[in-house]
Amino acid sequence: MTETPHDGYDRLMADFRGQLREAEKLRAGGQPRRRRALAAIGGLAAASLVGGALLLTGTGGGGRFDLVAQAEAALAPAGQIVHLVTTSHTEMRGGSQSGITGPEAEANKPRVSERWSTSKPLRWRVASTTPIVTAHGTLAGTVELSYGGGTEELYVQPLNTLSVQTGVSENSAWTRLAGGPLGADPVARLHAMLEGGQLHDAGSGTVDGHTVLRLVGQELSPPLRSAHSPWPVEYDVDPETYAPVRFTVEEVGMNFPGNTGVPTQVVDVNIYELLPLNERTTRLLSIHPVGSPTIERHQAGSASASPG
Amino acid sequence: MADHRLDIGALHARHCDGLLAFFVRRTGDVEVALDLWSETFAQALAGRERYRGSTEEEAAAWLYGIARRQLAHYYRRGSALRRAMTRLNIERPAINPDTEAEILRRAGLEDLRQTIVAALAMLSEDAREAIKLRVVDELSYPDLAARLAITEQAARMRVSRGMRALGSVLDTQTLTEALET
Repeated sequence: MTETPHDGYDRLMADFRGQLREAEKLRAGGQPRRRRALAAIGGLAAASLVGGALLLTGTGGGGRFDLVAQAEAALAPAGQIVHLVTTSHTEMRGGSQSGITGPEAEANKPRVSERWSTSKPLRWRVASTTPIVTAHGTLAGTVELSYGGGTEELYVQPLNTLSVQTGVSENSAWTRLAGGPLGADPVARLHAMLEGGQLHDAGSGTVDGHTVLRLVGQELSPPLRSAHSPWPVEYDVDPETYAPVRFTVEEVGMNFPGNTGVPTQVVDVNIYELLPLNERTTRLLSIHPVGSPTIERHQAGSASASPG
Repeated sequence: MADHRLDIGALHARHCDGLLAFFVRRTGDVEVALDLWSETFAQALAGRERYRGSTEEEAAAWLYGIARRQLAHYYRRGSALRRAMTRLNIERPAINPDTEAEILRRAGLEDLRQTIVAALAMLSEDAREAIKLRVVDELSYPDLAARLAITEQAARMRVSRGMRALGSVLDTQTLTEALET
């Protein structure tokens, strides 16, 4: 029997509705979460494995899968670059005063950072107005960090130096160029935490009067080498787009001389946008020094450095 | 329980035809419309715990709110999102020429094409040519790109931006809301 265009149209609708029903069953079935995730993984494409892994670690309510997965997707959309501009500052929570005073105050002024990142494979660049404190005083200027293809780069514009380290794995990249409590690129670290099920749905909250969805967790392996307590992490996202709004990290166990309370880094996201990944935008993921910087080259695991 | 507040199958049954026509008439492209349509339902399923309505009208408004956000993204970027579909392992339906023709017929795009032709004058020359080749002459994107000596992605962007510019003749309200989203 020949199928008419009308039949084909009806079949399209019915088939798609069947897919929705099937996906609905996988998400809302009565099986325990772990079994449900395993059942889902059996028939899922590679891209869905992340969602399955999140279910395996889940302990929250029914919305957790969505929130974690959506937040994770917002930080690493396939074939796109996440571009963020953030302002961060450190405050002393629970202290006699919220701002940092004394010799650490200069190095902990609010700073603006711009980040570009993509995933699979992981590549990122961060440019920040980090004050460089030297024996000759504080230098103002941009510091850039990047990672891609097993190579880390650190460019200090005020000193015109470029450090290149090769043989670095994705997993260790974030700790080696420690630029804060979540490493050199907190976005990559947050994404890894979401992917690893380290952040969970904590309901909603408000940031500057706007409602946000809140994920919380703990940074169990902070970039600093010394042993200390886990650091509570709070990650707020837009309830509609799941775009990052703010994240905070309480650096429990750390202190600044002359200050009381827990140093807490607060990072506000000023700009979040997705860029297509193409030849032009790929340049944004790597450092392009101005002029001829002094280059030092290192191999991961080797203590020696060689000038470039 | 929130999970049972929205029956996604019933929502699809009620709105599948209308929503597909909605996208076809605003993109002039069945393939793009199906991408947007599929992602809209997938996002509705993925985010249904957040649905707080209780009536069919509220469900429809919620669904079309998602749809307009997809449309706004397409107008801006020239491509449709596939995040929820990927996550839920939902595939966009494949179509043959007969089914495509049936979708166009149901959407009334043939009638709309005359309106589009009349409105093309408001576009830049580049966008006018791209819209004419894609929507009126029905060239594929690879053919369109070859004809204009541009990349396929550039061709898609040119068409999507042209369609956005034509929004006033398609649906002023939708365009306004989409751009505000």
